[in-house]
Amino acid sequence: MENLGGDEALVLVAAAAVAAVSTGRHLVNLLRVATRLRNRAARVSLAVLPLAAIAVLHLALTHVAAAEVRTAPIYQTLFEVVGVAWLAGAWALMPLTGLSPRDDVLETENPSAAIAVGGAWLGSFACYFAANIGEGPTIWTTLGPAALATALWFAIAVLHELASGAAEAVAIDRDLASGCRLGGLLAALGIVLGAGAAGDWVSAADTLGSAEHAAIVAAILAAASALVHRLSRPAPACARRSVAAAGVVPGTLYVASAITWAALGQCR
Amino acid sequence: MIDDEIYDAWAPRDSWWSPWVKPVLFAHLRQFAEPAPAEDAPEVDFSWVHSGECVAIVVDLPGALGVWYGLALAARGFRPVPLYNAIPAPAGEAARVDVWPIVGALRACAPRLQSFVLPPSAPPAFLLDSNRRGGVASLAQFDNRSISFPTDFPSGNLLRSRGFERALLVQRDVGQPEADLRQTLWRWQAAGVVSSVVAAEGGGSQVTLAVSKPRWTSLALWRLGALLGLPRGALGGFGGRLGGAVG
Repeated sequence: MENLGGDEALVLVAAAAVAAVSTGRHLVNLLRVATRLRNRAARVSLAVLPLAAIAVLHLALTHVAAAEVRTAPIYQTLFEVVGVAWLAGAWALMPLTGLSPRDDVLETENPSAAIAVGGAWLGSFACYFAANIGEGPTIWTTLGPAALATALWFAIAVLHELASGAAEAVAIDRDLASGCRLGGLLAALGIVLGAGAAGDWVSAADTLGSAEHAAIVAAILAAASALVHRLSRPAPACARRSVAAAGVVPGTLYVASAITWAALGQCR
Repeated sequence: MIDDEIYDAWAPRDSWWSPWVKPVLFAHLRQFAEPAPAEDAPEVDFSWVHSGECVAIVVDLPGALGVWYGLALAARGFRPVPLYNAIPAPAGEAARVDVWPIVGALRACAPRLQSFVLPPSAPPAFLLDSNRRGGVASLAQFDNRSISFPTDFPSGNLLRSRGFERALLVQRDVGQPEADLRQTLWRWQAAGVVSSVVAAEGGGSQVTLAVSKPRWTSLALWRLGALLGLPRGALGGFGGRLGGAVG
């Protein structure tokens, strides 16, 4: 702790408190809420996802983060604890996107919602994850871009829902194809916006420019997804679309497009 | 019957509608120590519904009456689907909404329900407690008011794809549905499922409902607005003491 500055120690303590409470609450929810429901696979996936996310974050912190982080376990701990708090915040705010992890996944037998919520959780976390990549002089040059990318992620996800009603198809129609598409899109948005937050810190203006660039790409992706949803959403004549053709394929395409864009170095 | 058997009676694995059954009250079966209530299926003229008719029924009646009504409908070929989502008050505490009679009725009706041979595709009769949003305004410290969401019901698209183009709302009186239920009925109407309302003890005359578009139609906005001020239970469902949730 003595290696940390005052603000860094404060962030660590606050994040640790949030992480401890939210982790305990999450475990209680997984183990006790509506356990008679036949949705064990969804519960297991919601237990495994955050563990996997933090494990991958650890790899990033030890290999591609700033040199000071790579060589100082206390900084790795700091960013991992903040990562847990980030996951908790995304969980709490997810109902803004039309998806409620508790109502639609834990208290319901709805595999479609489990997939969409999983994609949303990974997407929102990707914004934080990617901001840890690259050099920066203070923790705020990581947390600031991460917060900006996450806020943009929520804004675009909300606009996408207002334009498409995709979350309604997931939560009300329980349409598995819609769940795969929406999960893929929300993960893809995180990859694009995260790419905008990744890289070495240059300046605030550069960060804003990079975020704006990523937000435009994310908005185009969301608009395309809304159009696809309009064409393939559930209808009385066909309440259940082909999961592979109308769900897995477009969802995978969204993610693949996002990865390709990020890999081509369109970030700062 | 043990608790798991009671749940399976109400949510058999092969029924089309079992994924919509709310498990909240079934988690409290063990705590219901009172003897099964002497109440029985209501003596009602069911001439307005034909056995196995392709209509989705929503029973919105107070307390245990809805459960007994559901059992009577099961005898006519409908699959009762409990959607009760409020948790009972801990022993010795007064609650805004007394749901213990519903727990008792679910337990008491289970053996008879299990004795009916209903096909997986039997038309649904969704059961709600019409007291859910209000209950008794008192000094009760346990607030277990609840609301129903459109996500608690199958979508209009799904109903129509399964051949259901009509819905029938059973209430105390022939009037407008509760505000939370209007969200669901409006979506059904938009998908082409026509709703009618019938009084539970009113002789069976049906009135077609024209549900106007609710103010907040976005699911996210409706949920956020509706959930404000309603405590959530630690085991799922609605209910908690002022100042903290209770399992």
